[in-house]
Amino acid sequence: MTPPATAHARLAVTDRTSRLADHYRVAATIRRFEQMLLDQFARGHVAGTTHTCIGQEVAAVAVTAALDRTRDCVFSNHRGHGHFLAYCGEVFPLLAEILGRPDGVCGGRGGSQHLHLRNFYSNGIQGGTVGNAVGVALAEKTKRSGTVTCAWLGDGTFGEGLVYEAMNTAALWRLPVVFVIEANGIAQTTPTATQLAGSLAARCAVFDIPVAETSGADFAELLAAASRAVDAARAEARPHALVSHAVRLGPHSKGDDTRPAALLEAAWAGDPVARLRGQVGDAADRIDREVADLMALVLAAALAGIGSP
Amino acid sequence: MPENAWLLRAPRLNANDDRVTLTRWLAADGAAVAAGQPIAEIETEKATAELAAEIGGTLLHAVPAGTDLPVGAPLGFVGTTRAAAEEIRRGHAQVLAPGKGPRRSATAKAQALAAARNVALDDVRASGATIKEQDVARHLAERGAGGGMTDDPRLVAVGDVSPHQRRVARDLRQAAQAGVFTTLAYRLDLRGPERMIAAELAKGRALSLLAVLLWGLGRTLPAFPDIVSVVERGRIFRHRDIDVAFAARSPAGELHAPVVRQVDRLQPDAIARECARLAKAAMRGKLDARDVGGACFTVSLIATPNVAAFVALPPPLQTAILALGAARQEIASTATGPAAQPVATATVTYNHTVCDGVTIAEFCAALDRVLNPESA
Amino acid sequence: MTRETTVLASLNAGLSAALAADDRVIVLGEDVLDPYGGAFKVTRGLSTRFPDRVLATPISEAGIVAVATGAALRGLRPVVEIMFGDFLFLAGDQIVNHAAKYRAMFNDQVRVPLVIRTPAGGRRGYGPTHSQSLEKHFLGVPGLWVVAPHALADPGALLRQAIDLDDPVLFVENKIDYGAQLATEPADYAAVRLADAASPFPTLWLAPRGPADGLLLCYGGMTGATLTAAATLRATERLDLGLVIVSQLAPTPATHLEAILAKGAPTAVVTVEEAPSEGGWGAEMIATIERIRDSRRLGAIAYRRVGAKSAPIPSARALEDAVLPQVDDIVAAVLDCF
Repeated sequence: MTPPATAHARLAVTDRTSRLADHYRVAATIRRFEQMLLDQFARGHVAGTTHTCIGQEVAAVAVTAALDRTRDCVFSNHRGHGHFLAYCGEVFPLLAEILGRPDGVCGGRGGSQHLHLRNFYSNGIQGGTVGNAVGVALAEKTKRSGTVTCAWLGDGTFGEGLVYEAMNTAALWRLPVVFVIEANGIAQTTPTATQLAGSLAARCAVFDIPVAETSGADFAELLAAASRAVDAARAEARPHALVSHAVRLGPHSKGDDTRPAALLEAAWAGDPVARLRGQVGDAADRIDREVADLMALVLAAALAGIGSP
Repeated sequence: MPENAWLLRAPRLNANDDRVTLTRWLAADGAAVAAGQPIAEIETEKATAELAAEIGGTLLHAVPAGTDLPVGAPLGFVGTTRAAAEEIRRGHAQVLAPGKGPRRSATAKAQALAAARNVALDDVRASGATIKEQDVARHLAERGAGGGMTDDPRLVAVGDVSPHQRRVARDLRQAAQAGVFTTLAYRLDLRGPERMIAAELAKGRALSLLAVLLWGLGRTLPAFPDIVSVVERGRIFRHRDIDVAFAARSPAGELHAPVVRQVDRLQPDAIARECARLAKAAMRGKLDARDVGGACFTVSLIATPNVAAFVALPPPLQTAILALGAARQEIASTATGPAAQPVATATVTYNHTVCDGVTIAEFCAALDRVLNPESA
Repeated sequence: MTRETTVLASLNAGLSAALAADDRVIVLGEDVLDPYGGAFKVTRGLSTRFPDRVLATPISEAGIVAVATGAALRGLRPVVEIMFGDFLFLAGDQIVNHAAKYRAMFNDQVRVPLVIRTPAGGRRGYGPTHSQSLEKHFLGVPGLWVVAPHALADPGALLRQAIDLDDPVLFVENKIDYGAQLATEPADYAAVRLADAASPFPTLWLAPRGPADGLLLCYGGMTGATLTAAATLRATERLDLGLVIVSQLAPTPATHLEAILAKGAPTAVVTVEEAPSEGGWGAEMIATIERIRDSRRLGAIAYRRVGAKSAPIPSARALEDAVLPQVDDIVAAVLDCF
């Protein structure tokens, strides 16, 4: 029997051996968190900007579960709440950070896009974090720690030259980096097809970086592919790439979604979180309630003293 | 120093003066001069002197009249021949005017200041290869030009203060600081003086009102030792002699104060002769050093009609000065009915820290009685 | 440690000593391996002595600095060489938005002990894109230190001080100065070294023996020309100037300036830099001095800046000389104050 949640309870994060229900709990928590965030923005309770990962939660959970949390590093990007929650499960500190509270992850100084906790880093400049991730891997290789560094990026990020410089260097110097590319087919409001010539996967292969592609919708497939990539990177001390095809179900930031309604409807029909929920069975309802209760507590605690909800 | 040439340097006249002013040349530039001939007149804060050539020959000026120089600076050159004089002058060219020669460049600030104060940059001695603002400022300070008001373009610079003006201003300031001054006005009866003048005229001798006053003061002042005393640093000093100065103004506008010595021992005609001599010398600017200084009292007359009275300031080392306004006719009641009488208003400005109004009033009354014995 | 004879030798020795003293120090750059030893030879001999820790990189300025930043986050102490200061902007985003910001953004949970070394300056006829002094554009980036060595202080020691600092440092060397002989302070000055907790990279203050007519401020490669100008002014104009040779360009070493002004208020201040004066280092120094002057109610100061003209630097030597500041420009600027 799980203990009743408190606002500051840490979400139990998962690894390769966890049960599907636990993985679902993490994914549902991310979904709930992001939706709550958009709702709070709409109500005017949150200032600033944010980039939710609705539709991409399952990849975050699967890839992070494949890592060795005792030593592996994660370098995330602007759309990193899912990566962060899957890595450390710190729900209240994340919301507090976004709200600018001193008890946030970075004391309110970083906000949504600039997070650091233990071995997790994120920054909001497209491509910059990819280069930093390669440097992290270089340091860890020098220290012989056996660390694998997970670098999150999107398909739109491949517009930045630094991505190519980083991949080139990682391959040249044989650094254990896994580039996880969330190919959601859109960069802000611009379809990837009008941004990238040639093939996404070929961009990795050209550096002799082995690249695997997954649908981004099937949890088991993602976990397996991620595990293979992480293990190979660690064993061979060389970079690997994993392309996860998912759909960004929410807007780029807030209200900036120009895609046609029909496309979004079809996307929602294939919602990966719903699919994972279906695989969990009866426990799903209970998990949903517990996630909702936790989120309500977190929200109330985070808004306390800021303004009336 | 070659034997055929001689350098005239600014001498040290006294221990305290490090600079002298060449007030005027007594021989022209290029003139032939004789050994011993006075060729230049110089002046310091405290003294004036004439400088004579040590050898005979041709005089060449080093600086123009009016120049202010440090002690030891060259004033002029005398050479047995003109060439010799020129040679020695060339030898001192750098010392004379290091700013002369190829025109030095000047900084923008120096040029701006020079233009504002009407300074020719060629006259400025530069502290380095370039004339700087501070060089111009030092030049101005040496020239005695102060700052401040002359930045106003509505004030047009018309010339420098003359050494004489400087001396007068200095004397006035010095005197004003020596005491606290106030004035008493007295209606002086002029019938007696007019009778005296008429009597002398009848004898064919001219007698001025000034001379009459001086004679009267000579008879009055000895009875008032306070008025001929001064105070300095807590001690009282009394003038030994009754030497009285009178104000004389040259046509050029310079104020002089020649002194009639021991006027208490002189008869009116002697006083008149002395007055005339001194006045003439003052007009020509040829007052001797013995003719000025050391007076115990000064009298000043203004003859301009309708000037009812004026107030003068005692010079340094004098406690009182008498200033007489223009003579006027007043109607007075006499035993025989109304009659016109000549009077003038005399003001006595005196140092109140030495004597008070009562003394001065008594002095005026005593002078009146001396001048008007028949009115007593 | 024996005193090396040239700026280049001093830097090379300093880097070598830093590598020897701390395993965490690594060197990254283009063409830094032996026998070439770097475009300006600053890294010569290092890859032979420390083969695992001197890394030759692809031509990827952004990538090199990004990788070095990530490595610094994880405890290494990278020293990156950007071959020409003109190439700094290729790595500009990494310098400004990553290396300089991680410590503050992450609420002091991390440090970025990164040094980026690069040679600035012209006077070699290298042309518009290989002769600039672009360090001025990195002044005032919060979290970034900008430091420049000069031949009168120990460049190698300054480099080690930068490596030992736990925050990112842009270390700006000077191409012409590499060959300059290291010199001791001229004898006709009293030398004062200023360094404190707020401004740890030292300022060298050369005060004339008597009262100073004014102050000359400079850094890096313009130090020699400034010394020559000061000597010229003393000889021909009888102006005695103090020299303030700064090594910490950013953050502004206000505490050093306060200490200098506390000893006497100058009436003229002239700043000297090789970059164009407009919007540059001299303006920052003058604004700081003026603030100090005003708060202390000192007398008025005449200010002038000497720098390059606002134009790309031509390649032909005569044209280049007309754009870059010369000794005569310093002398003229000083005279303009008087």
